Amino acid sequence: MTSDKVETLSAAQWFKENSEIAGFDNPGKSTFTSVRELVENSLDACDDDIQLLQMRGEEIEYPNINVVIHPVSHERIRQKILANLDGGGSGPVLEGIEDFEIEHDPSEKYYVIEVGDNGPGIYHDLISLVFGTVFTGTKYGIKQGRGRFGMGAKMAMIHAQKTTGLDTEIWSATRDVSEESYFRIKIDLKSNSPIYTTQKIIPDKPWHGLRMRLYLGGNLIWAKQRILEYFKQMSLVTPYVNFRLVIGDEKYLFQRVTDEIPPLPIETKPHPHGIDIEELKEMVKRYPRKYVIKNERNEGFPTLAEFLHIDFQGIGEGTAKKFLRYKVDIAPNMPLNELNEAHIFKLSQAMSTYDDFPAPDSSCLSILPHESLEQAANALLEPEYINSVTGKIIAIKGHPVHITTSVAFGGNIPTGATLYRFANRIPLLFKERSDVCYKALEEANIKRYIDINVHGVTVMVSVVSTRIPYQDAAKDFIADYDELRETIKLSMQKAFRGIKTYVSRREEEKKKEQEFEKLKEHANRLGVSLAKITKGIPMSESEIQSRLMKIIMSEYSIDK
Amino acid sequence: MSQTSQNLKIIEELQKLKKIEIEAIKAPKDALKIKELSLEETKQGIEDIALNLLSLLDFDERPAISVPIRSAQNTIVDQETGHIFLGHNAVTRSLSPASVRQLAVLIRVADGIHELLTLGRHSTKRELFYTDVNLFQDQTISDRAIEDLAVTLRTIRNATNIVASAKGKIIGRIRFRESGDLIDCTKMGTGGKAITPFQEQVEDIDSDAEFVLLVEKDAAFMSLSEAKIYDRYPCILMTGIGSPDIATRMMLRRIVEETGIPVFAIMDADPYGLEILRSYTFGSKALGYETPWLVTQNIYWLGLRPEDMQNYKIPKEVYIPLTDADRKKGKELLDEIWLQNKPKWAEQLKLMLRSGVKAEIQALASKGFEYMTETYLPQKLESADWI
Repeated sequence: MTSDKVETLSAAQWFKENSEIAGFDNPGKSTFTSVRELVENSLDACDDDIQLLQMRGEEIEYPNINVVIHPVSHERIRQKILANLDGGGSGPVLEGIEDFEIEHDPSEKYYVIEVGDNGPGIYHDLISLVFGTVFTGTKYGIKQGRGRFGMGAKMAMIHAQKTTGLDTEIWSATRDVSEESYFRIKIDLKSNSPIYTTQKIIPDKPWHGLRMRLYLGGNLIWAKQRILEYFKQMSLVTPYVNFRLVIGDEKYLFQRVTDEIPPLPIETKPHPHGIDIEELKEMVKRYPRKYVIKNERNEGFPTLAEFLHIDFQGIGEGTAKKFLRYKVDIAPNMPLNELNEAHIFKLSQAMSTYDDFPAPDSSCLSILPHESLEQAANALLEPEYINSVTGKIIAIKGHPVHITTSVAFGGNIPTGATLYRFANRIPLLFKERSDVCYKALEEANIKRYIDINVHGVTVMVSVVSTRIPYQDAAKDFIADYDELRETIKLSMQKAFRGIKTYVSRREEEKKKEQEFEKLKEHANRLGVSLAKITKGIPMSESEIQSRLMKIIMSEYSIDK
Repeated sequence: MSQTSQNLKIIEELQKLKKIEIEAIKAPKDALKIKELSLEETKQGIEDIALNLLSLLDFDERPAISVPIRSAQNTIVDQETGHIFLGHNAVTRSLSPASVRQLAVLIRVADGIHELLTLGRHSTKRELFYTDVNLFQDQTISDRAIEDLAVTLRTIRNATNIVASAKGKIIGRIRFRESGDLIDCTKMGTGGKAITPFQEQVEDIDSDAEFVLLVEKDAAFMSLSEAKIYDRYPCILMTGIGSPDIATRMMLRRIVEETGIPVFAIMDADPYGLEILRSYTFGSKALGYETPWLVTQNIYWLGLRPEDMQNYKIPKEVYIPLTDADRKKGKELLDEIWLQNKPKWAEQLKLMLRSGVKAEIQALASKGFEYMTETYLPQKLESADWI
């Protein structure tokens, strides 16, 4: 977000009215959502940063995300703001909000939430643009992303403003300047424009990253366990990040367990199955503009065939012509500006039903390697064994969907089966029973493979896609598509079979070991008795024993 | 008729049953050959077993030993006499996960017995068990191993100098010397004399009895001895208290060998009673190798026979229905060859299976506490109702 195309849209008001969908429907959920939005915002920034550094061939920095949730009284917040208009504090690492006294009253309803990262930061001039409006995006193409609405922190800011009336504080610094930007921002919901109560540059602050502080009303009693669960699960799917969490006077550290950064998502062109009529109109409206076809720069309007080739994935010019001629019945060389509503309708219809386009490209997805997740799960869940399985890649409405199922077994996992759901590497914590993963788990019939009355298992399903097929706008759970459920079920069963094999192999080994111990024990006894009966002739007790052991060892290749 | 004349009449009957000469029991050709070994021979046998095992070590081979099986799978029945013997089927005990424990137990028992023989003394099964409780864990384990060792050495258990603790009892018209002491079994109160496990110390058997009354259980023994049955009829009363031990069977065999008198058995009218009767008469599967030393000919089944339940009008309330295990056991017994030598016994067993009920000797008490001694037994004897 340091540069690039930044579009502005205005819908702050819309959000205020749709807070339920956005996850701000009650104080507890709002507290949780605020934290996760800020965290996911930071993670996205850090990922972008890594991608950029990798592209430049520079050494990457592993993300550090620091989160502080601090209960305070409303009065204290107000006093603090009034008394210290200059703001304060700096640096990428935050250990706690030392300026405030911790309020232990459990009925407390106000919190300071601060999230800091060591990402690229945002240039001073862009901050107001990025945070002052909602629906800011950089989306021309499609790309796997964490953000549920593409607007991350901005919703939290509006929520904070709504509940306390207080500004959001932002500290930002970038690598190439040794100064820090400090802002206080309020959003005018009517005009949708940012109001800066303070905006200044502090020199000689050489760090980089972003730190946001929100003052909001909420309910930590409800939210605390969810927040902890969120970080726990987040650390499983984002094992290359250090998460430090401070809630009141409690500190939690979710340590980075791997050096390996998964390949980050790549922006790609949409698949023809993934575009509806409105989106198609928008794409057509982008012309006239500069475009490249057959390595030649052009300007204006391409032909319809050229348009399909340029703007969609997997459509060569030949395919485009064939498709237009035989399926859509529009001349492929029709210039794009001659396309009327009827054409667009016909084109859209044909595009969504034509089966001969290549399957959506999944190489653009960011898949966490099995080893990384297993490392994280080993550290966090301390299982005895983990088995990971990659499911078949399927396409849902023109978007590739990739499934990974990891099953952690035994060790410190309490008996029974626990399901963890991840969508684009974000934990889904709500409405489990409605989720396709839950239904797949039911159908997978785990008891056929693992006795969950005796053993504990954690089933971790990660669904990654350029567009996760959520059931509804709240994006709490993934919709129950038959093909998706079947794919998840099969990946679960494959993983369970792996566990079953492991368990029987382990029991076999245990049996072998017990047999070896038994033979050893009795060999010693035999040595004593045989030597006694024969009075040590021809062999002494120890000689008999060592000869017996030699025979046993030759049959049991147990390293002792 | 006076009591005496009655008794005299019975005695005449009994004289017919008396056998002047009890021939030695010969094992059939395909049975395992068993010999009574001397102390030195047994000791040497154990040393040979140990040396054989050690010699295998020179070739880095698993030490292994072949042990004859002592169960139904390896039973041979003499077609003529019905006597039970062991065949040549054997299992291998070796340094393998499946049998190393049994090998270790066998060798540990051999070790203990070797030590006993070296010292020239005896020991009980219980004592041997305590030499390595940790290994044996349960006395039945070491007990079985003693017999396994004996049969591996092709000898009888007595040769191992291991004896069981006394179990059987004897009372009545018999005198003998035991370890030099004169024992008069007519002067044993009501409890009787314990049958010593050291049977080789029993000598000079002398008796004026006309028969042996062999009862299955202690309870019947007690009531008969309390009634001094041996004063009313010239008899010896014995019990093995359930399944008889070696000493009781040996003692019974010796009494019959010395006197030639018949044995009348009083058992429960159930498949287990018949099985006990079989082990006295034809031998047992687990101790088949000792049969020539243990079985007694001249045994008759006096009671309580399934037909008695009708004949003596024993009230139905004391009948016990056969269990599934009883039926199974009964059917197995019917198929056994020795029973063909006792067609009348087989008839009784068939009757029991048909009627579906069984009864214990104590069932006679339903007709009064003295019914057995005062009515049942006299009637049985006087009517020569034995089979």
